[in-house]
Amino acid sequence: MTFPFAAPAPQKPAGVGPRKIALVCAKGGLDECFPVLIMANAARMTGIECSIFFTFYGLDVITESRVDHLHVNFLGNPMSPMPNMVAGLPGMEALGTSFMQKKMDDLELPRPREMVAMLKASGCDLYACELAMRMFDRTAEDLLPEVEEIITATDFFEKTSGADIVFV
Amino acid sequence: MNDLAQRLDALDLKLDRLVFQQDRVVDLVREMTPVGREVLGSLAEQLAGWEDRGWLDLLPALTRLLEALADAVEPDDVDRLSASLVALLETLRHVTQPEVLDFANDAADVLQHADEVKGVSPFRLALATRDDDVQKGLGLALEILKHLGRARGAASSSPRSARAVSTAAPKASVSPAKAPPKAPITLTPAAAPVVSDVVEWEGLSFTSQGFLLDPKAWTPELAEKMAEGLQLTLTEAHWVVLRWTRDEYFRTHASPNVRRIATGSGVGIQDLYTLFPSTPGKTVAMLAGVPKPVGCV
Repeated sequence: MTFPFAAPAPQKPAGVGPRKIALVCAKGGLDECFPVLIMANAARMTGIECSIFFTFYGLDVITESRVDHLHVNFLGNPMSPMPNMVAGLPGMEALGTSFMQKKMDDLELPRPREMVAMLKASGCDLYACELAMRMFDRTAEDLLPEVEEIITATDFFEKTSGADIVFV
Repeated sequence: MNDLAQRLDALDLKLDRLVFQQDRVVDLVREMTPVGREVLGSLAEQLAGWEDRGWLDLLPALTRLLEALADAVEPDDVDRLSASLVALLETLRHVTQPEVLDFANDAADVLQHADEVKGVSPFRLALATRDDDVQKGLGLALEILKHLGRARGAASSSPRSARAVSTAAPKASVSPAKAPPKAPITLTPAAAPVVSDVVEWEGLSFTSQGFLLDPKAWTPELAEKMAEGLQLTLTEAHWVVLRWTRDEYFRTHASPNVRRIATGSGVGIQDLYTLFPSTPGKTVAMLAGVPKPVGCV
């Protein structure tokens, strides 16, 4: 008798294509972009096809000069542990960022640059928003080599037809 | 008749001895009475004196105190107490140094005039920190806080407090309630997976998803058979990954996930997705006979 189990991939109903997910990353804070990267990686590890559209401040995550300097912003964040009056003081942003980075290191979580490389290696498609690129005066050379293509939002919807779209 | 006379003689002798002893007892009593009176008198006086001072009222309370002490204190504690007494005296000596006393006097002066001190707004506080004396004081306060924290850290890790926590008896309610230290967050619990259904195959038990329950029961032949069922042909590259994963599992008691497999086995993430398509982390764990990996990186 052969091994009576299927590969641990998600079971798809007959007649339906593979499960797909499309994530939109529009924010560039360390705490704001990380959920997108983790969700995308988890999707890939579960055998779900995944693509990410980086737009507006999310562009920083795939910009060579910015990806290692993503910050945590406590100001105006109702969930932040720091009162706004204190969070606005100089240096608080750097402090919060270093706290979060330390926590991530303790949990052996990769930094955003490594996450992006991991996603690319695991077959996740990474797209940059064409309009946002023009808005922030960025060119293809400014982006990480992992970025697949610079496309418009309509292109993205066409490419990800049939996918669940999640705006983060 | 003769016999009777002899018996009477003997009786007479005994009577004589009795009378003699009686005399001696009377003498003794006569001699001892003044002494006894004196002793009794002084004892009564002493007790009266104690009563005057209220010591006798204290006796029941003292008895209760001793009982409570006997209940609460163990011989070890007494040893420790004698050790801490020395430290206590040492501290007392430090505290009574003239500089410290002067400082305490100054502080008391300030406290006496506490009414005249005005409240300080955050802005004023910021300004005040520019004052040299305030800066020195802040430094001192920080140093003291540091010591306090260190002492507390040491106390919470000492066996004494560990005992206080472990004896969850009523006594524990007397000691200050300390929250147990937070368990570190871990992404990969090493405990055995919760299994709802067990499936038997080839005489071995698997979870309902196909993960081998006992990693030690795994053999390379089993992996070959499983791979065949998953429509995979195991090459040397597959075996590198599977062997490393098994070693890692028995080393850490946790199944590695994709990122750890890639960094540890040297087979890149992209290759992992090619070798074990779709779900490399879980497929590797399945074929290596280790539990399903936890975590999402």
